[in-house]
Amino acid sequence: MLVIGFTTITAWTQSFNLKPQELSIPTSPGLVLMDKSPASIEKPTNPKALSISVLNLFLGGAVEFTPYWLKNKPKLTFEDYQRKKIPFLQTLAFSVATFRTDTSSTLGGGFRTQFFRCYAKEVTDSILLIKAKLVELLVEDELNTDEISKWKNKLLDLKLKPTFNVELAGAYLGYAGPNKKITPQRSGFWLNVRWSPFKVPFSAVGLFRYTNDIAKRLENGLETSYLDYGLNISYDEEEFNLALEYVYRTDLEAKVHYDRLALVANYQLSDMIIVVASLGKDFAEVNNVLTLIGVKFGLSKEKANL
Amino acid sequence: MADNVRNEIVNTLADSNASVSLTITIGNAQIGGSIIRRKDTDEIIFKGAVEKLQLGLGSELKGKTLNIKTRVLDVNDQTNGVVVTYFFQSCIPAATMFDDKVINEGDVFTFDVDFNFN
Repeated sequence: MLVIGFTTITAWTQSFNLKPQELSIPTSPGLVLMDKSPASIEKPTNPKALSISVLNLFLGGAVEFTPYWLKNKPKLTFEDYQRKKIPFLQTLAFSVATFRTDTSSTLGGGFRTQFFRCYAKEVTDSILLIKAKLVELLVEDELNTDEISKWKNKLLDLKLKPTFNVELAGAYLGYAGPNKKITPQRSGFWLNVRWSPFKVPFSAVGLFRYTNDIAKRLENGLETSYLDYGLNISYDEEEFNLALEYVYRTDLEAKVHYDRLALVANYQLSDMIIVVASLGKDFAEVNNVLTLIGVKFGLSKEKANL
Repeated sequence: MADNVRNEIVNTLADSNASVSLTITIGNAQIGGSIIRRKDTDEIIFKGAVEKLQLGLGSELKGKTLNIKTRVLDVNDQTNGVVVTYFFQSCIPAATMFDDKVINEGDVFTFDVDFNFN
């Protein structure tokens, strides 16, 4: 959907330094600290493809892989994996990216994993019922791909929303100049704790992030590191969602604290029109109130294939 | 959604005096089901998830061929690999494993295997 946003800002005196979504675990932690996007990310699924991808990194590129799944797991059934409460190894993914110029190289690396997850009994029962339905469809004489897709999507929707889960991630960014010596630039660590009750359109996410900008310390002797805590509570219906977000930041070197609170609402008037409203308080101590009302228009529903 | 098919033939020796049972394990946390039929009569013996399915005495199976069509649906977003293990109690080889991968996320992969009991 092609979207044009039209917003009227009624009061803005300070730009937000930090958005709560920045506290969420990034998809590829090793890449996010770079402030650059690689043209493509290779995702090798076997050791041979991984070794080729790693060699290609020397020329510049990005790769993301989950070591556990590089080799087949013949004894790991769907039920066994579904019941696993600590899928640390199964979800441990590494991302690495390099950018090269004639005189310098930037290297970013990171990991993410789901440390703990559990599903409500009703969710597990629903997942297993859908699994049984899929097995029935798979042993029909003729495959009904539409029905299989429909039930598979229901299954994946349930699998993606554990009732409770804890995720960890970390990342590091280094820089090498003409002398080829890698110096540290930035590092970060994220922790998310999420609770999504079954059949209730409500979820709460506790967010935590530590960041250290080492490059600034090396430049001017000033250490820059932050500890951020956030809480996002959201209510989601089909046409309406409401989110309350709170972030508390501690500047560990300057030993000062800031906080930010925002209430964001989206209401879908039609397929192509969404009304957005935000109200909040930024980190600054004065002139820090923000209100925003806007409308998003969709111009097209068709997907362009290039 | 594409259905990739792979055909295989396996020669199996069953213990004539022992009861033969079959368990089919779908690995990589994928979802699968099997259709088992006697090749000579095209009679369907079983459809679904196979666990300790009794096939009769080894002597009853001698000279016969079982066709097992196992369809695996890729529901694991971490891998496109599919792996199936056929375990025949009281047979040699006891276990036969096939692995492959679907081309696109969410596809179905079919292993169409003839087990010849000698």
